[in-house]
Amino acid sequence: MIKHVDFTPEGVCTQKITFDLVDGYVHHVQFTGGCSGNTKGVAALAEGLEAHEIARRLKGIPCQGANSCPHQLSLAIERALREWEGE
Amino acid sequence: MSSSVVRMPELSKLDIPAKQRLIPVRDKQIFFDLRNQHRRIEDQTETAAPGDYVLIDAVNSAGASRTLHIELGKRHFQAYEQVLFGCRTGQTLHAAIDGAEYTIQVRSVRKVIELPLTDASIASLGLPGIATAADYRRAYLREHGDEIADRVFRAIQPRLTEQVLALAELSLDEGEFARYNEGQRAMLQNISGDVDARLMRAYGDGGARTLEECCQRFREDNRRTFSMYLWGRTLAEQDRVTPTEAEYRSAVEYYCLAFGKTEEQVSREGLAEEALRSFCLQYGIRRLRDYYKSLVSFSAVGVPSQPLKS
Repeated sequence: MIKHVDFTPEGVCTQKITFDLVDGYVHHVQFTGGCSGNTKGVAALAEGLEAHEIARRLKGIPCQGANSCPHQLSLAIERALREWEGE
Repeated sequence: MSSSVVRMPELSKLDIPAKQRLIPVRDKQIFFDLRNQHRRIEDQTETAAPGDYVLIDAVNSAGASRTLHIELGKRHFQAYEQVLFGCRTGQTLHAAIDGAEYTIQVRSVRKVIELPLTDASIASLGLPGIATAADYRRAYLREHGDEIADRVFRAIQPRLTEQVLALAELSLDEGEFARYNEGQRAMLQNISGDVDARLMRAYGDGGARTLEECCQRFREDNRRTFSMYLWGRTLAEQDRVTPTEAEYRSAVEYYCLAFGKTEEQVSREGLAEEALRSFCLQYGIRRLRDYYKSLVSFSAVGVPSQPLKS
């Protein structure tokens, strides 16, 4: 299964997160907006990793209160996984 | 005497390059979402090639292992990719990577099947009213033309406003403009707490300019904005446009926030007209944007030029 994901985060500087979910692994993460270096770093580290593992590691990282761009990526991944597993 | 527009600019004299009137839209953009939605992945029956996804377990001589899902050719995991080109599912490889000996078990090799952009494949999707690739391009331009034109307008807006002001003849009351400039300084002071420091950061080119030079650049910016406001106000008067209740409230709220005033103060001190400057400014910009959009057409492969506004 290959699925392109467009996610609109809430409550953080990043306006959009996109990535591909390929057989349960994450590829091509891109953040629109947010701290450029940090979000590029998160995207590079997430490349080719198992989606559940990324979501587990990133969930709950705080920045704007209990929220952050990595946390929003974890939510995007969880939602995509739920949709994928439901398909 | 108060400031006014002596001669309105003729927008037809704006110099807008052909590429910004007839905007080329590439297939890469048009079919981006469609291709993403209809991309498939399946087992690679040949050897692994660029673009394929390879799932591996790599174990080094010390017993440390990692699982990786690698897209070949993307160079995210360059050392692994060199070993994996040409591999097959189930294969065991031995390689030196970054100075360590690795045993790599290839768990799967998968290839991506892209949607062919042919009339037949697009027709097979059964999208309403879409039988060919050209139909899809036309539908895309209809649906997204406005936002594409908006993006181009935002990019060229500073240049267009410069032209508008050059084509207009304005009578600027220096006293009125000085009060406007002071008002803008007061707003910055209210927002930032230190207007001079804020101007040095915004206009100082990293400390290369004096405060006096920064104030001068701020003043030039304000002169442009004030002139655009005059143009917008004249247009609104000509068109007999007044703000709606919601627009009025929004303008006053913004003014109160920027200047640290209450609505009651605005009303008592007769500042409503000043508060409505942002409405007039936006009205001028909106008219300029509408004029620009009236000129815009799009070009795409196999589709005759599509006007944004018919």
